[in-house]
Amino acid sequence: MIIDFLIYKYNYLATIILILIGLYSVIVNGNLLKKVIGLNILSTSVILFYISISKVSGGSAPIYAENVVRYDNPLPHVLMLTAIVVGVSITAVALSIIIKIEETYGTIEEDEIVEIDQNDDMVDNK
Amino acid sequence: MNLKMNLPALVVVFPFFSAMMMVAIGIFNRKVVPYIFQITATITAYFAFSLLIEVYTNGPIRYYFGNWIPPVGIEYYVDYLNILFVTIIASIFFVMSFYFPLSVRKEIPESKSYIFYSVTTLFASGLLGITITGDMFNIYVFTEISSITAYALIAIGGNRRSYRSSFNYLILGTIGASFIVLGIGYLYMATGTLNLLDMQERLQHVYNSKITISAAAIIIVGLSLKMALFPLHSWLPGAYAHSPSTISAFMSATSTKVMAYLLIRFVYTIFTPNFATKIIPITDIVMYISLIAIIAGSFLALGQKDLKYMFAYSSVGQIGYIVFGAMLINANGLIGSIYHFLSHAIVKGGLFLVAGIIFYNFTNTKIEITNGLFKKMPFTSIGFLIFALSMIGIPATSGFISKWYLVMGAIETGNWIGVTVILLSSLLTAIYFWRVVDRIFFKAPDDDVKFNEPISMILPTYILAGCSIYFGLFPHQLVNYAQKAVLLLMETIK
Repeated sequence: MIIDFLIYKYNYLATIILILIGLYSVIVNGNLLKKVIGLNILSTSVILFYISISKVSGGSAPIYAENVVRYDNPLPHVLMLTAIVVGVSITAVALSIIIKIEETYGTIEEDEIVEIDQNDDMVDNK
Repeated sequence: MNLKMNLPALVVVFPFFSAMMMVAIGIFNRKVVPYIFQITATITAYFAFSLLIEVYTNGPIRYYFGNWIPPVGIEYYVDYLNILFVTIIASIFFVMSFYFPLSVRKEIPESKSYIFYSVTTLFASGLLGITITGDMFNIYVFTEISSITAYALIAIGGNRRSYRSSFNYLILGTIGASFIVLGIGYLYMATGTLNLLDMQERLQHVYNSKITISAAAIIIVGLSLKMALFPLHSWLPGAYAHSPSTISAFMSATSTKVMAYLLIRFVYTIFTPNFATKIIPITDIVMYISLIAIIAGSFLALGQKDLKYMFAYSSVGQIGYIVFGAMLINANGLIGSIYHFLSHAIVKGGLFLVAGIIFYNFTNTKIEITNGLFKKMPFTSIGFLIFALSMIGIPATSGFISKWYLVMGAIETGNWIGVTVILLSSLLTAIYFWRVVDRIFFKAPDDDVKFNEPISMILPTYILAGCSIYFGLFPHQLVNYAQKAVLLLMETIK
């Protein structure tokens, strides 16, 4: 049964592994830039998932042609064009915020930023 | 051109294009942009109210884009439930638009102000889009429009903490959105459609499928992250406390609530309560989490030293009420939930507006500076008192009505833990608000400096305060509207 799953449904396995890699690198890395890379892996894995479910067995590319009986489902491809655009915009916003964090804190390591903020609070409370 | 027929599209598309226009005009003339912003908000509110009247006289509207019949085409579906939410968002946007100019002049650099107005309008149009659309993937796209603009709006707050909070929100918000879109993918796999009503029908045949069950789990986790349900709330306090006052007011009134609306939509319209009660008890699980959220939010708010942080943690508790009422699967509970959506949007928005007026004069919102505030800023203080009473749920305020229905729903379903938690949390709310009220009204001020309270900031605050009292004294019409929405949602139970 596991063999069957590996042979016929390996795309789901790949998606799960990629999602976990993405989540892991978002959670574990203290470097903000690496967190953004993790986010990108996460959103790309969802895109791959959508693309893989659009495959119809024996289907050809969804472009009209003679002598073709079956086409793949083109809808997920179109949806994922939007998702790619969304992913790019999120990366752009994230990177610009990271630049601002670097300018104001002088670092993009999370534990150092937390320390700076805690020192600020100590000064405030005195 | 028939304006009436195209109302569902106009409500979303008009602010969307207006946001683009603001950038184009702002490059040449920055001074007119605030006026365009106010006109946009006014016209959007007008569209929303005409749509409300239209829906309540002629029944739900199904608006097909380009006349493509669903499930092929994209549809805007306006029924008794989401028209209420659309109207609330549009009218909050309208009332607050008059508050913006002064506060923006104080907090946002002049060279960026026109972009700020434009992005705010885009944010509003994203929220309206989420509530009005009848297509799954549109929900995701509009969620992302409103989230990406929200990240930018929080980061514009000015100090370095706002960059950090914005980044935190960005990471968690994107994870939440990825979960939602993955869940939508699962549902698409199971049914082959993206249209909400079509999916409701087709999903009934695949309730037992593992795809449907995992889709439900993934989507609910994603939505909880987006709406800051208790254990997943960590992005919210920073985001509200360090954004510009206008944005914290507008966001707290609308953005997490829209996600709560999506939860109602998914549980009632798409999965239907039958799925929740027969296959896996998602509603029970989420209900108990929301009870924990109510208590935890109130306790966390108790220890805050900053007004904005206190309001933000209290939001974490209040979102618990909305989710609790919705998850009871009981007519009165759901009415309470919808009423609380309105009540909390008015009250929490108003509280953040009060915090904005305090920030305008003091440039911070620490609780310790409010000593004797009544002598310095009498109008602001009285506004704060009205909102505080409504948060606690004193009779004659809107908070009382919503809690009344929530408790009724809890008693009808025999959920005595829920009743206890709601009453206990009202007590906690009273404690943490009275701490501030005591300082404002009964402590002697530290100095005799008088502060000005600009009329354009006081007026929106008082309109919201007036609404809170109005809906506390005359709840019948709104309860009737909510009842109609609930009847429509409950149809699927049979």
